[in-house]
This record gives sequence, C-alpha cells and structure tokens, in this order.
Amino acid sequence: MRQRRLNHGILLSLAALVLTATMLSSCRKSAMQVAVIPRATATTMWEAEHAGAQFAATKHGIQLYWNAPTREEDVEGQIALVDEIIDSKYQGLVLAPDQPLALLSLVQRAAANGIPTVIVGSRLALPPGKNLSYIVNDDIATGRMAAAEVGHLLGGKGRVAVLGIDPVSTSALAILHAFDTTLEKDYPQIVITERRAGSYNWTEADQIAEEILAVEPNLNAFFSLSPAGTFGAHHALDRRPGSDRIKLVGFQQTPELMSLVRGGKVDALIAENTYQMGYQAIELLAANAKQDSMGRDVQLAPTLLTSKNADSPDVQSLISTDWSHKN
Amino acid sequence: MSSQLKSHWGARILFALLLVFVLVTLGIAYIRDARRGLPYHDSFAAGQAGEWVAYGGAWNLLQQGIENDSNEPGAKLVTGSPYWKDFRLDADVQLLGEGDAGVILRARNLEAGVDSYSGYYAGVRTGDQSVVLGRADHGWTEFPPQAMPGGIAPYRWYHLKVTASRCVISMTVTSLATGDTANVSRADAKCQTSGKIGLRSVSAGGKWRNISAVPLDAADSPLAPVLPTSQHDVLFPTDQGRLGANRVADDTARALASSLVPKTVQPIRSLRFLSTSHPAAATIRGTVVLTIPKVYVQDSSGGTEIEPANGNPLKVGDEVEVSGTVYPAGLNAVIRNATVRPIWEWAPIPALSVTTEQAATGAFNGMWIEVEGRLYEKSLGQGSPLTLNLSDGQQDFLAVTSSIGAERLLHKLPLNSILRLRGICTVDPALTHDTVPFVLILRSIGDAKMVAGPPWWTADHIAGIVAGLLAAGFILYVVYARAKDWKLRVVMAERENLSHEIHDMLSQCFAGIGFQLRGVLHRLQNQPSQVDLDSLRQEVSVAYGFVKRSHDVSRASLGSFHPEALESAGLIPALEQCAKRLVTAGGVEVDATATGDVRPLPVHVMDSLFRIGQEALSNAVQHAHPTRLRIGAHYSARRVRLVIEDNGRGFNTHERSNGLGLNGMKLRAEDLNGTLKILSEAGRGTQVTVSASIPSRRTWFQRLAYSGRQE
Repeated sequence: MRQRRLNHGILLSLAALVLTATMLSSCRKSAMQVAVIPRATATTMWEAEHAGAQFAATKHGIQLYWNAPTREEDVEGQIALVDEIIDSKYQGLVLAPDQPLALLSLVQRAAANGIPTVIVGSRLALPPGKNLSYIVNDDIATGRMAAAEVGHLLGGKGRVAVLGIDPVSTSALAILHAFDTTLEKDYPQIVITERRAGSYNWTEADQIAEEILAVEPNLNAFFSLSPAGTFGAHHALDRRPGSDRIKLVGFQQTPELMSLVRGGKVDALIAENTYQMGYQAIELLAANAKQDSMGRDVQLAPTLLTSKNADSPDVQSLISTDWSHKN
Repeated sequence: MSSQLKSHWGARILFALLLVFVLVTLGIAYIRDARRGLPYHDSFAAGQAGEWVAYGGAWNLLQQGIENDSNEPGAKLVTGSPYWKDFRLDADVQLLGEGDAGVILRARNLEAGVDSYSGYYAGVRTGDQSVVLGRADHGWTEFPPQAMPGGIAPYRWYHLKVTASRCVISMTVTSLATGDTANVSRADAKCQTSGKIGLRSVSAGGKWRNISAVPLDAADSPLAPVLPTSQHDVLFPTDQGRLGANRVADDTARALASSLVPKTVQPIRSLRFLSTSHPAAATIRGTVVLTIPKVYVQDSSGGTEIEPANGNPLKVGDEVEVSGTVYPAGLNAVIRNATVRPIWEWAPIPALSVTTEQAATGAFNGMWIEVEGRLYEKSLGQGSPLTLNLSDGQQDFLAVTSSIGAERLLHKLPLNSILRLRGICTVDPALTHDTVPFVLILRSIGDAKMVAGPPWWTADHIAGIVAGLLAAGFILYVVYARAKDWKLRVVMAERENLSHEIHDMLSQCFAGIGFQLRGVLHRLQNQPSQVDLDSLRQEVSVAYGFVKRSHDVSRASLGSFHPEALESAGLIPALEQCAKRLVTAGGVEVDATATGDVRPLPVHVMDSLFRIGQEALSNAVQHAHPTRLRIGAHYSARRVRLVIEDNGRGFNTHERSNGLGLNGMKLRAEDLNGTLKILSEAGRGTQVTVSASIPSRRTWFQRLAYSGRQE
C-alpha cells in the first residue's frame, strides 16, 4: 500500500512539475514581434526602410522579422510571404506592397485578423481603419516636383519622354498624372512625346530609350519612374554622341545613380524617404500596442537630389548604406 | 483477489510509462547530441549531395565540389544537425563574379531569402575587398569587416576556416593563390548557440569544395584575438552584397554600355521566323534563366537556347547580349556559336504564372514559368534526371531535374498530390518525345512545391483506415474480454465469500437438523416400542430450532445480497435497518448517527463499508450478546470513519484475530486504501473502526460518475 502511495506521489509530482513548467513558460512575457516586408531585399532603398524599422524596434524592444522577394516584380513571392505571416504569431505588419491590387485581399485579411498593418511605399485602395494605417510617399508631390525640375532644366520649353511606367502601379500612374497636369498648367510649352512602360529589366529599359532616341531626334528630356529606366536612359544617352543636351530626371534613389548625379550624368533624382517609412511605421505600431493609434494616413514629402545638395547630411541619410553612425 | 489484480495492473502500467519515459528521453538525448554527425566531410567528389537542402539558387555538383550559378541574393545550401554547437568549419570558396560568398554556421529557422535565417555568416566580399563576419536573424548585424591583403577577386580560391566556440566566432581567410590571410574574431553578446552548417552566396554565385566540420574542444583557442561586442554591432543593417555586387561595377557597366553598339536587337520570339536553309546571324538581349544542362535566355517576348562559343561563365539572373547564328526548328530556335556579353548582374527574374493550356501552346517556349499539375507518376533513372509525370486534367506534361536532392524529392512528393512547379518550358521534341506538349526543366528541387496532398480516399489511405479500425476493434475486444474476465473474477470471489457464509451458518444448521432427525429416525426404526416421547419431542424441538435459525440466517443473507436500503437511504440507515433485523426478538437497543460533512459516497466505498459494518454487526449479535449496538459515521474533508460498537462480552483480539470474518473485513478495508481497527476486551464490549479516504465535495464529473445518495 505504501509503495502504491509512493508511485502515485511520484506521478503526481511529475504532473505538477510539467504543469508548473508549462504555466511558467506561458506566463513569460515575450517581446512584440513585427514582420516587415519590403518590396525587395538587398536593395539600398528598402534596406533603408530596414534600418529605420530596426532603430525604432530596438528603442521599443520589438523583435523584427525581415524578409521579401529579391526582385520587386516577384508579386507571388510577396503574396506567399504575407500569407504565411497572417497565419503566424506577429503582432504587427509593415508592408510595402509590390502591387496594389494583388495584395489588397491579404491586407484586408490581416486587418480583419487583428494584425495592425502599416502600408508603406505606395497606398492601396483601402481606406485607413482600425487596423490599417499608411505611411507612404506623396505621389502627387513627386509628380509636381519632377515637372518643376524638368521645367526648370528646359527653361519652360521642350519635349519630354517618360520611361519606366509600371502600368499596374497606381502610385506610378499618380506620379505620371501629377507630372502631366503640372506641366500643362505651369509649363504649357513642354510636351510629353512618349509614355513608355518599363519593367525592372535594365537592358529592356536601355533598348526602349534607344528606340525613343531613334524616333525622337528633338527630344529634350527623359523622366524615368524607375531606377532601371534611369539606368537604361543614362546608358543610351552615354552611347549617343551629342546627347549631353538631353536632360535626365529619375524617380527613386540608389547609390550608383547618386554617383551619376554627382558626375552630372543624371540631372536630378527624386527620392522616397524609405528610412522614415520604416521608422515611423514601427513607432506607430509601438504606440498602438499601448493605445489605439491606427487609422493614420501619413504622406512623406519626396526630396530632390541634385549635384548641388548631394553631400548635404539630409541627402546622405537617403543614399547611405551605412547606418552605424545613427546608433 | 480484486485488490491483487488491481495492484498487478497498476505496476504494469507504471512500468510501461517508465519505460516509455526512459526511451523517449534517450531518443531525445540522441537526437540533440551536439556531436551527432560530426566529424563531417562532404561527398561531392563522389557525386553525392543528398544530405544538403537548398534554399534558393541553382546548385550543381562539380567534379571536386559544388557550384551555385545563380545571382540570387542569399541562396543557401544547408546540411548537418540543428544541435551542432562548438565546431570548426573548413571550406574553399570561389566567387563567380562581383559579390559575396562564404559559409553559414549555427543556422536555424531557415527560409528562402537574403537574411532569412538565424545564425552566422562568414565570407569574402568584392565590394569592399574584405572578409565578412556577422549574425543573421531575419536581418543582418555585421561585425566590422577586415580588409583582405591583396583584395578579393572573383574566380580565385580562398580557404575559410571558421570556429564557433560558445559565443566566440572566429574566422581566418587564406588566399590559395597568394597565401595572404585575414582574421576576424568576435564575442557575440546575442549569440546563437547551435545550428546547421551551410554554403551561401549573395549576388555573385560561387563554388565550394573540401567542406568539413569537426567538433571543437573547449581547449581550442579562437583563430584570432577576440574583439568584444560593440555597440555598433547592435544595429548594422547593410545592403549586404550590394556594395559593388548585384551589378557590374559602375565603371565596368559604363564600359560595357558603351560597347553596346546600337544595332538591331531582335525579339527572341522572332528567331523562329528566320531561315532554316540559310542560318542567319542575329543579336538578342535578355536574362539568363537556366545554365545547366543547357543555357536559356529570355526576354519579354520569349526564350531561347544558346550555345556559347566563348567560355564566359554565365549565371542565372545575368542580363546579356547574345550574338550568333540562329538555327530555327519548329517552335524552337537555337543560337549557336554565340558570343555572350554580360551587361548586368541581377537577381533571377520571377517565374511567369501560366496555365498548362497556355504553356502547351508553345507561346512560353524557353521561358521561366510556373504551372500547377497533379503528379501521377515519378521515376529516377540511373544517371538520368528525376522525371515527374503530371496532368491538370486537360494537359499532360513532364518535369525533369538532375539537381541536388532529386532523390529526396522523389520520396517527398506523394503520387496524386498537386504540385506547383517552376521551370523552363520547352517544347523541344528531343525532350517531349512528341508524347507531351511541353516539358519543364527545374533548376532545383525547391522549384517543385506541394500545394495539396493526395486525396484521403486513395487505396493506401482506405487500407490504412480499415487496418486502423481493425486494430481499434481488436483492442476494444481485448479490453472488453479483460473487463469481462475481471468481472467474472469478482463474481467468483463473491461466490466464494457466499459459500463460506453458507458453510459457516446454514450448513451447520442443516447438519444439526440432520443429526437430530437421524437420531429420531434411528430410534423410531430400532426401538419403536421404547420411544420416549419427551426426549423425542425434545429432539424434534431442537431440530425445529435449527430450521428456524436457518430460515433467519438465509433471510438475512438474502437481504444482504441486495441491500435496497443502501441504494435508497444511504449507508447509516441501511446498517441501522440491518442491525434491527438481526436483533428482532432480542431487545437490543440500536443507535445510529452520522456526523460531519455528510455527503454521497462513491458506490464501491459505500458497498465495502456496508459489508464491513454488516459483518461487525452480525458478529456482535451472534457472539457478544450485547444489549446495545451503536453505529456511527463521521465525514471529514477527505475521509469517512465508520464505527460499530457493542457492549457485549468482548473477546481477546490476540486469540481470535483471524476468525469472525475479520480477514474479509481487512481485505475490504485494503481495497479502499483504508484501515481497520478492532478494539475489544473480555467483558467490555467491542469497537470496530474502519476509516477510508473519500473524494471531497462532488464535482460535476463526480456527479456523473457516482450515484451515491446523500446520507
């Protein structure tokens, strides 16, 4: 009988131990986990978002998950990642959608599942709400800034070709239309002669720029809506003798393009502040964890980068790849 | 008997649980052993790499090593145990362009993506001509890099020696061409303590050979002076590999761009329109989408196979200009004797998602596409690639791959599962054999993903379910048979008790009756004339007394078989009723009380207490001749104590401890995990006390389980 009691005692003790361990492990307060999905990883522009997000996350003790496809046009890859995140344990999502329509349902699902979601980069068709906020680039201001710069470079008169338009990006179309209307209003003697779609393929952009130069000998300027388009236009111009008079303005920054700005090969770049997008998104999620703070709609003003301001601290923070100095 | 039985089964169950616990513990200890699988050396030279798992990239075995000829940033190939802790990893590494390549160690939580793992990366980088060491955790924390004397150049072998000892990670890089070395050693405050090993490249692709891992002893010292953790290590998300990688360096790009003389560049799809009788020269521009077993280049209009004339190595993702002679054949065209000029290095392009019907039209010939289909056959030929036969109901097609891990893929993908496959779509008759409209050439086994398993109603599953049901039925039958057997044993034990009672009581009475009647009969037969009527009357009277007693005993026994009062009224009222029945004509005073937290008892407890009390009352009435019987029960929080007390003549407990049904009472008390105490002394009455543990107040579960009545 004593033996039986002893056995029961051992079993009960083991059960109590397991139960206690389980309770202790579940009681341990874990850090808030936020998934940050840029349009692509290993690119300067989106690593800046990573840096901003990481600085804010460290400040608030938030643990980040950072991953994305390696190319911006890999929409399916981004969809698969976001899909997994919605079904996981994250308490927040910061997403720079590769494509506004394809990610719409997933973002709705994330918000419906109670995951506070901050959209950065370019907006979706959904209004901000309980679990949805926007910290995006001001597309209208970008288009206006590009028009003003082209107008200034051409002295208010000339012929412009627009390259690198992503035909399924509402953001790119908003920039294009703002560019168009601003030129019509402020620089009526500047005409847009070509509007060409473009992918992320450098050689394709080069080829398109070549074709435009072949059919449009009196062209005065290129405005490119993608880094690939800017590179393509630059190299097409570089090969063509006497093309120094043709101006080139691009949207979105890379260190390589910035070195071309310094060298006078590219006249200006209009930069998105992806560092601030990442930083402010995490700040917003951290604030929301304490008190309901979602439903925001923040538009960050673009910055014009030229050879004159290339070395200013504000511009450096947009094109640097070393964020250690910020620590 | 039932007590022994329970004890026997309890011991068996306990032993089985203990055995399972020990086996599970040993199994876990074996799996988690930090030295299991060490030392390790690759078998690439023998053409084997089955233990490696790819996360992105295009991995191919070489004669003496392995190669990733893809520009995909962060492509990984991993092996080993997630529990490897302290070890030294050696490998020779060669970059296939501008970028970053090396090894990873203590890697866990692996996914496809640039920094999508937890662990350490040690490598060489062309961007800043340095050796790189850092920690990835779905982000990148780079320790300050060390410049490599003589620089880092593509197509040159470097030997990497990396040690992981507790939280100190050290690396030494030696150029095998010049003998130059560089070291980095770092104590990491947020160290990842265990994980797998692997190969990794960022942007450029690379070659690896002579990969080995050996356990590290505690006495082994770091490879270089250890730098302490720095504040700057905390946040350092660089665009790893992009500084001068992922692209042809700007100066080079400018030179290449300048060399791209404006010329007629043809869309790839138009190549099939060229003459078949007079092969024509053509130039295309596009992206490399496959390098092994053939080179395919794709633009927005289509894709084509090329046969490079120069030995310029190509990687998946390279943007190139190709000039050569075009040989059209049906929907295919091959550019032979092709001069390939790299223009740009970039990550591989994503696959175009198409339906099998679209792929079957040939519109995507030579292009990197993604389709879905149901797997209905698979085979792995000797020395030939893995072949998957698929169908989507409308179109049948094949998928082939000879990449690393093809054998694992063969076993991993069940028939009738739905797969999503990425590969080069080709309608080349040499591959389709004109039996299917198109064939997909997969770059790696990661290009085949199962999106839905086979339907559950397959023959195997049905057979499994039937087997499971049969096994469950058999187990149920065994349990039922055991329960039945157990019940039978309990009944037999009760019968044995009954037979003892009959023997002790009724058989003695019947023997007495028989003896008296036989005496009467004997006298009537042998001395009928001398029969003494008084003695005869006396003997018949004695016999009648036996009959009456037998009747009383049998009535009492039958009553005890089914104590209705126990069911309807509870323990104390039932014992009181029993006592009153026993002392009907004796003028014995019966007093019954229940005190404390009176509550329903589990049936088996109540029954056993009743039997013990009944036996004690019966003993008192039969042997002690009391004038007063007291029945008392006290309920405490976890126990119940039953006391049967009489004021009869008592007995010496030392002399008669085994009689009077005391053994039965003891056994019943033991069954309850309880105690039985008998206090008696000649002339001073007897007190029988039984104490048993009982549950506290009934929960909802107990109310369902027990039907005991409130006292």
